[in-house]
Amino acid sequence: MLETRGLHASYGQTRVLQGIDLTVGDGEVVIVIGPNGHGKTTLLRTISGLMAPTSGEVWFGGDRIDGKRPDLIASDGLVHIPQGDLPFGDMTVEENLVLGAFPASDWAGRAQRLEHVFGIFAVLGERRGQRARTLSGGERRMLALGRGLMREARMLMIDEPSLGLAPVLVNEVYRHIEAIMRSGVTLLLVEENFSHVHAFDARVLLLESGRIVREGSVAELQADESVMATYLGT
Amino acid sequence: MATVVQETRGSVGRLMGWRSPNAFAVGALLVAAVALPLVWRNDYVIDVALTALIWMVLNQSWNLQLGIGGIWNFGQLAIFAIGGYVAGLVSLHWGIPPWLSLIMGGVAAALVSAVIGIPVLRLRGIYASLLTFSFGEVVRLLVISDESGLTGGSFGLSGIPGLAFEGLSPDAKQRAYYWLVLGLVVLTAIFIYVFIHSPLGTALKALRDSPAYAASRGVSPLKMQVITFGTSAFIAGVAGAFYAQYFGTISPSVMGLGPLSLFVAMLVVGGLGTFWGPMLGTAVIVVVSEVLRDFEEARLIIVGLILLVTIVLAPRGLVPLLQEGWDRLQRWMAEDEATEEETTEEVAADDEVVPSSSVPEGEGR
Amino acid sequence: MRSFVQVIVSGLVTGSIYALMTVGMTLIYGTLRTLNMALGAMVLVGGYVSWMLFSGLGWGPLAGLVGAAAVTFVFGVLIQQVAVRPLIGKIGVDFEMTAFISTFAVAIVLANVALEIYGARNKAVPPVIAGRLGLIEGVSVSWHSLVMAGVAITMLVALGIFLSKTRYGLGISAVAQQLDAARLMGIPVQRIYNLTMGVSSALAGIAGVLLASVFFVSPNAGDQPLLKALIVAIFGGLGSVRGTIVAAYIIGLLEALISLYFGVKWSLPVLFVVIMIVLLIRPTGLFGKPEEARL
Repeated sequence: MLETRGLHASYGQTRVLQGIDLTVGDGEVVIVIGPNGHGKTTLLRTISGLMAPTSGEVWFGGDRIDGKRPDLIASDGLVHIPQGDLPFGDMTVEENLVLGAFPASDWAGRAQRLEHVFGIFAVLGERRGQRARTLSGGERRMLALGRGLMREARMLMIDEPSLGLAPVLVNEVYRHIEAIMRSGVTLLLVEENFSHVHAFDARVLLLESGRIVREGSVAELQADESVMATYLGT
Repeated sequence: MATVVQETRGSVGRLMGWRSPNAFAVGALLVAAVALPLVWRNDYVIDVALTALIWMVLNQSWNLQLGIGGIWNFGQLAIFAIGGYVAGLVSLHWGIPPWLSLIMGGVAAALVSAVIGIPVLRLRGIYASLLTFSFGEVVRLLVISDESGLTGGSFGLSGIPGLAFEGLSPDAKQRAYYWLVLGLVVLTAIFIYVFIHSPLGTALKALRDSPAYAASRGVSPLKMQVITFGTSAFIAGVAGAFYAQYFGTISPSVMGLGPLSLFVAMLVVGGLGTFWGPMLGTAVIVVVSEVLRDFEEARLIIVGLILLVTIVLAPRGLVPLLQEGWDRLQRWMAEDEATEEETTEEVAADDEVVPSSSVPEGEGR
Repeated sequence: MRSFVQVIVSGLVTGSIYALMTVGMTLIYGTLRTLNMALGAMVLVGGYVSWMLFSGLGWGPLAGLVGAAAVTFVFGVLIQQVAVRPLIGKIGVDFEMTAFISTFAVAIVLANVALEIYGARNKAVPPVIAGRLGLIEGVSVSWHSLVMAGVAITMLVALGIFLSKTRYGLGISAVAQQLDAARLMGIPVQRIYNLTMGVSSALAGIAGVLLASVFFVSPNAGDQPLLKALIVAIFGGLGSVRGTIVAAYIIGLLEALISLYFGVKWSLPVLFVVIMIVLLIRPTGLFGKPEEARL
């Protein structure tokens, strides 16, 4: 489904990605784990076209997409739920969600999708007329996830869904993510450590200083003490 | 990429036209300027050159705010006009010696700008430009609709006595004015050069480029900008006063959108924030205007197009462009020792500046 | 009582026109971070289009409105492509400053092209409906003013529906509020930019048609509306469409009030002083976002 070949990216003079090769197969769940500031978010932003890679290739569903406009990549069915949620603060919850179905192919079915999302995240249904900026942190995360589900996704990328949330809320968010996983969607998930994904049946890539340094299943890597010393989480 | 430029060329300052001027070139230029009215004895030419010199003083003062201080002032023409009107009025009605009226024009301009500066300097760029732009228009419309006879309304103030050059023939008088304003240009240039290299100027540039960084180093934005704002207004006011005294008249037609576009074109074409930019830009636009003298209506169209093309293709103006060209020429002449590596890096750095971004979407901020 | 009614009526009429102008300015600033100085020129273009349709083809005012809106929409898109888009993403220059100057340059070129083509003489465009409507004794309002207010308010309402109900309208707000998220939703940003410039220019063009029969059409017909729009923009603070509309009506009423008590001549200077005072208290204007306006 997704493949990157020798992907490099930088912010000005700072080289952030230094040759990333990764593949995510059809229906596969891949988790990228790495410390903050080592390029996880940049990786997702480069894949979804928000940043141009300095070199390397990105392939999605058999098409080369590096250098393509982000809106076209999004319309191809690559859904990227960004770090920090980025809600449209002055718009209502409902307007936020409806915008999630912006691509022409999704627009017609937005009403059904909306009900579907309200079915998953009941709280969003209750708040549908409320401005997004008045939501709590947990509700915003739900909104970000819900906005991602408004589209027919061929693949989902979620950037640190646990970031900045109280533990209780993180558990709730992850219950939803597991439900999304069970629906069989291809998923690329980014996290800082194993604490929320330790029970997942997924392949893990460890990202350090812009390079992938280890690869293996969640179980394999958790059995490795040298890895766990750094990434056990709290 | 900007930092690459910085590393390979020593300093951005150099790139922006703040390198130490070549003493020989400056001397030659100055001699040519001084000799002009003696060599080319044509009233009209000297008149045009003299006007251009007045504009140069005004543009240098404007550049101090807009280019160097990062204060988005688009009301400087009103400040210039206020200097002119005050100088004219005090020498007409109070019998103040014209020489003194130059200073008074400058002081009045500085005072008015201080009043405007209180709100303007608290504002971020775009809001400051809105406020100053409308300030200029309000002043202009106020003068035009003035029926009290004080300012002469839309016809302007006339009969201003002029500086006392007694006993000189009209030609000699004109030359005297010319040399005087040339002196003013040089004085302003020296002042700005010294100002920029003083700790105050350095702090000001730091503030423009990175407000947060400057604040963390203890630079007080308001104090810096108040000083810049006031100084700049004083210089503009003196230029306005000189204009009024030389032409014997000043009218609202020095303000408004037409003149504003001419002056903004001068600043942008020369290169905002550069040392030579205001002077070069003024010269270029004055020459263009003169060439188009017989096509009065097409003149502003052409100037507007020049402004548009410059800001789109070379937003930093001619001076940085010329300097890059000159540097390239010198490198090319001294090619022997240049390694392959250096030249490729150089090309990459220059490419970054000229064409539009390779990222198609771009962020609109 | 009589003067009170008069102030209210004329304040509402002028406020509507100001709102029409400035809403476009706010929209463009919101999405593109460009203060579009060419909006005044769109007033001019709109005025000339309606004049040409009227005096050349003998078409009525409605054709003038539609024609002017269409032409200025195209102008807006062209300005975006020629004067704003090339500046996006340039390194080493301030985008807002260069976009301000480039749209200013466009305004100068257009005004002087109009001067070259049509000459400096004023062109008269007849009012949509002649005559006046008596309100109460001694106070009447011209039918044309009512039409002006009616058209302006209709356009504002239509704009509101467009922005909150339609796909591309929501897209405009999305780009204005969260550019990256908008791109990730699949919103084509360049098309949104074009659309915003087009719509805003068309609104100014419509204002130009409405003003044409009040003030005549001339090469500097756009100067005053631009200035008023700038004043409303500083006063309201370029923050939100709603805030801009409220600010436009406040300025309209203030202006009517000042004109009544001090004379028309003083309306601008007094307004300016009022705004300076407002800015001293709130540097972002009444409804601006505080985090945006300060250094």
